[in-house]
Amino acid sequence: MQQRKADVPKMRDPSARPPGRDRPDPRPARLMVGAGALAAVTAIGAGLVDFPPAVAEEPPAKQAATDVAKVEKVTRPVKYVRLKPGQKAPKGAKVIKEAAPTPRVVVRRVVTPASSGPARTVARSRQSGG
Amino acid sequence: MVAPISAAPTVSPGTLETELTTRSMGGGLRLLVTSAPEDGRRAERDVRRVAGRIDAWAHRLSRFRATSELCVLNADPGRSPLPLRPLMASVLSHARRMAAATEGTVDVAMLDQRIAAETGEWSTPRGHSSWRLTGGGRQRTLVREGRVRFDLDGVAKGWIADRALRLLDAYPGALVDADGDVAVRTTWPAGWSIAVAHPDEELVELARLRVPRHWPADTFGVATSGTSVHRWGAPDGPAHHLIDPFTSRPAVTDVVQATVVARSAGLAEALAKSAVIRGSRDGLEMLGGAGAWAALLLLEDGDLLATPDTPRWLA
Repeated sequence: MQQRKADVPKMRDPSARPPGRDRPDPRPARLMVGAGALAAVTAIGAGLVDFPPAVAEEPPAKQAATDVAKVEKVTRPVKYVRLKPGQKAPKGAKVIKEAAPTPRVVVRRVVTPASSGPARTVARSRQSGG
Repeated sequence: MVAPISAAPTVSPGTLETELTTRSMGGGLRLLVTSAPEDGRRAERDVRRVAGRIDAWAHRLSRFRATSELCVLNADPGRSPLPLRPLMASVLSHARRMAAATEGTVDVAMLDQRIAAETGEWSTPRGHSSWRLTGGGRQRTLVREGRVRFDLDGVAKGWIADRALRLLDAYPGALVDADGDVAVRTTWPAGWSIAVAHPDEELVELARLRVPRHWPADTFGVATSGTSVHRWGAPDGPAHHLIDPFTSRPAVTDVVQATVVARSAGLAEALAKSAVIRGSRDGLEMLGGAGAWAALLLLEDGDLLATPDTPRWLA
């Protein structure tokens, strides 16, 4: 019995520290790194699977086998929608008030007569949803 | 016939430009007139008046105001015959002409289908329905067969732009920009050009258009339609607001955006919409015969197609 006790390595006294070296407990830091990595993996996973339905052009079974970048090329962001009464804007959308502001009138004297010089762009034709 | 608001200003050397910007019809409105320097006050007063008229028309033709003439008309879709007030009669008459010009592609009686596309709630297909106008002058009557509800939308916007331009007949140069649908009066050598906006990049221009030298008309319209702005994800795939009347569903098309120049903003708007709904092949074929003076079609793959006369319009 005495012999056996002598074979067992001596337990280290946790309170005993080497002189001059004050090392922090590494466990909290390891926990932080672990949690960060887990969050990053989760975010990447969400980014891959949570495409809005509007971009899916191919059936899901085919998509899984193809390159993800192929799906990205047809993304067209919704720029402007009219909200119905009570309807909420999608997350992240900027809502612009429709209330009519005071009309702004600008009167300017054209120094060079309009009939000479290059044409000046005075309007932009664009989609308005109509 | 719309009477100009004021008499023709005296022409003198130098030019004054008077511009009004505001919001109307759920978007931006811009009016611009040129006049002699001494007529600046009159020009300012006139653009304010025209802006007020546009706002009044828009309120009466809106499908988002419960008390508008359009909403009252739609509230009882089976009611027929129904006497119409002159404004609604004029707009529906214009819609009839646009339907004829586009061989039925532009159909204002598609409100139920548009709402179904927006909500994703498709009901059983409706039975036969049609509408027509009877009578003449200020005594027009709407005759509906079956359930017919109207979505005037871009058709009304084009009509408003043209009508407002006629109110500014007294000015040698005038422009009405009704949220991207533009009615213009200017002559060569013209100091004005109209940019065509890229659908995805707000500040990028696809082209600049300018009335060509020796062009026989001084009035024209420029309008742009497309599927990339009013677009949303639906359970069965991407959806947009341009309904194909032959399928009653959002059009399946290779055209992302079409811009058309025609004799009026109303016609340009109808032709642009029709070109998108039909797709590039049928659309280009239709445009020349239907009165498009110039047209630019931006396709899904990034190609930009143009009708043969379009280069003459490029600034």
